[in-house]
Amino acid sequence: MTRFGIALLVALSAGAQAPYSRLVNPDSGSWLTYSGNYAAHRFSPMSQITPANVSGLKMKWIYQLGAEARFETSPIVADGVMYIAEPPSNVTALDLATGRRLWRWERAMPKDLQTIGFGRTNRGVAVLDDTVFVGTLDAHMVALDAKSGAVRWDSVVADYKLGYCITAAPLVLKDRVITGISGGEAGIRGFVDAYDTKTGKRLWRFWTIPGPGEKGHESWTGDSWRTGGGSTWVTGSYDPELDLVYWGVGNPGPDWNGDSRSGDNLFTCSLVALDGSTGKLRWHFQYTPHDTHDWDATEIPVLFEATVRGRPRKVVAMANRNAFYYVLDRATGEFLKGTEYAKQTWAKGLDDSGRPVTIAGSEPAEQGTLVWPSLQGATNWFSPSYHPDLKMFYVSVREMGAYYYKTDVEYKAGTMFMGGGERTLPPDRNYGAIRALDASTGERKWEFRLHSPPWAGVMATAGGLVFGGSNEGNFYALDARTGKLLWDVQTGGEIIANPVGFAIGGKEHVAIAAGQALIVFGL
Amino acid sequence: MLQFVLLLAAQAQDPLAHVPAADIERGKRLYGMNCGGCHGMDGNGGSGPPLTRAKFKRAADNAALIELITSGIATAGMPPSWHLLPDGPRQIAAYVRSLGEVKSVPLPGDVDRGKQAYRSSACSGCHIVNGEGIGIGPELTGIGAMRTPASLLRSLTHPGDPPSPAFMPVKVTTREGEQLRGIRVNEDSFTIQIKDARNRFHSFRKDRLESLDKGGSWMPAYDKLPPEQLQDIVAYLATLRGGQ
Repeated sequence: MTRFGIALLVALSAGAQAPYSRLVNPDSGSWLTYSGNYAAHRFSPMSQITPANVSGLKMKWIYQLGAEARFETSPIVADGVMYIAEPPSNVTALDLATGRRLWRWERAMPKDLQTIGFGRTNRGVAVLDDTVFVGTLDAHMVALDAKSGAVRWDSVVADYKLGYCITAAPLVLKDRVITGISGGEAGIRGFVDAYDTKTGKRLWRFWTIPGPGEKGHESWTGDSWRTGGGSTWVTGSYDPELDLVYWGVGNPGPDWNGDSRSGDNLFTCSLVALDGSTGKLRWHFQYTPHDTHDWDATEIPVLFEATVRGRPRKVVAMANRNAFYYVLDRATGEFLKGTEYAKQTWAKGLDDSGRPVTIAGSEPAEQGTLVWPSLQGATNWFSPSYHPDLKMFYVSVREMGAYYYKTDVEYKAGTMFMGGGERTLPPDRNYGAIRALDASTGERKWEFRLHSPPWAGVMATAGGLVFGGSNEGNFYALDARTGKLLWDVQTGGEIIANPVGFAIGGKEHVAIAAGQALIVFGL
Repeated sequence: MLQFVLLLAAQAQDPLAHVPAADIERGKRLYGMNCGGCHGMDGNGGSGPPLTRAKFKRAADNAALIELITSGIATAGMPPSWHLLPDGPRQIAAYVRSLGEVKSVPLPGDVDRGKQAYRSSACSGCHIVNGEGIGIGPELTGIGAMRTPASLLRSLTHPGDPPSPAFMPVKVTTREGEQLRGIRVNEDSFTIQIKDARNRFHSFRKDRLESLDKGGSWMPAYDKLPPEQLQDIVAYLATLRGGQ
């Protein structure tokens, strides 16, 4: 074989970058899925940056969007390349060493596209083998060649004219790409879909609002299920051994006026466990029955092992928007533990089955009803983090109350379907925090206060740090054991994104999107 | 005559020049269904910016406001309102305008006496009106268009209550014992920037401070002034509708 032939072979073999087996056991220098691993820990196993040396962290490179946009990307890092999503639904591959662009795929948006109830953004891509997958605002799933950005296939997921959009990063497993859908403020009927990674053919769909004859349909009145919402707009997690996909389901529609939809409104504000092969519902757990506060359960479901109620179990935990932290048995969905992790004034507590015991008078009203948390919740889409060694769960908390209002509402396809809104309290009465919870109990271990309720997620590291961001542009590192501030820098732009960790040339780095820039830091 | 014609032409071009009360009421209902979720039910903001102001950055005039409501702002995530055409966007715009409008109403006080009282009470020692005065306190040139008479009276008798996030008095004590009072001009989780009484800027890291107190007001309470004089000052302040 000639030298050219060998070189070509090496180049070709580099194509199979991220096979499924590698996603199941990710190497520490890569960041291969939205949350870092299938268990959604958003944890970097790298340990070169420590409490002792983090003060020496410096900016290594910056990538600029060059346009005003909500930059919420959580990058994927594999084999010297960083793949990011850019608003509205573009994908860019960057040289990991320098931040220089390798290719960009641009998605032209239809002129009549609307995003009803959220900004034009995209939180990330997924990579499997040599293909990059992205969901688009006009509700397509697109597969791109990882080496060139060329389109491999482009499948319609839903009709954007009805308010369906995709903002979440897909989840890839085996030979399928799983996606959720946005549009919960437009009276959509939500779902979780799986597509064949090679052909783009849809393999299964799970409707989050059950139709006539299906389990849970009885929890809706009349035709209200047709416009029942139940969006699935944040990436779920996956247990390869159980072959179960865990996906959070959003609020029922209309959001704040529940008069037309009496009942529990399944499977809104629930966690659903779906068979990865068939999409069949294995179990569900509803956090907020008949929600009228827009408390989507689309927070990240985090998987770990813990001893709860007397025996070791495989559990799934969620810090819910409704201000309770829940631990469930992830094989069965059994409720194990629920703890308040932020101020709430709507429930006396949870009963033995995990169902909230609500406080009368906390419903939205024409004159306004003051309730904690605000409609943006005690936390939101931004990611928590789980530290497997310290067994701590870190969550960005929004301590904020609001007056909830209820108004008339009528459904018109492709328009707002909300039935109210909120009036938040003055800024200086609200604050934010990073809280460390005992993962198995939800008991608070420490708190680090923030000036305002944050929109940034956190990432813990094996080096003993927790990285986070603030609305005012601060990127910072806390001691994972104590919450002590160890390092911070002003990035100059609002941080509405999650940190990721990876290696460049074997050296640990962290990255965060801030303002219209992606910034990489290292020692 | 020409001026009169021009005035008529301008009014003809203003799509909100003569909006019936019923349209504003319908605009309020449509606002609640379509806009309040993001901009707040009272227009004071939420995930979207507050609308309780007389001027908007992205809409120079009423026609532009209607167009903005109709088409939305794609980059900011504001959806269009084509489904409300032909009348809905105009009705919403009329209601939104009413949120930021402090109407001139007959007040019991005397404007000229109020102006005199403003001067004799040394208000211009801290406030600027039309370029006159010293600017430690909030600029008052357009205060009459932004605040209701009741709110102005409250600020005279109970300054700092409720506190204004945009004008927050702070007092810091450093670990070295240095003390500084001023107005917060910016703040994040780790630092605070302060303007002192001499209009000088200071910046502190919070972890270098012994204490950081916010709230209150530098302005003395004028609750001992005769009620008639307070009404005179309010009447004067209500006439200040320039600048903005």
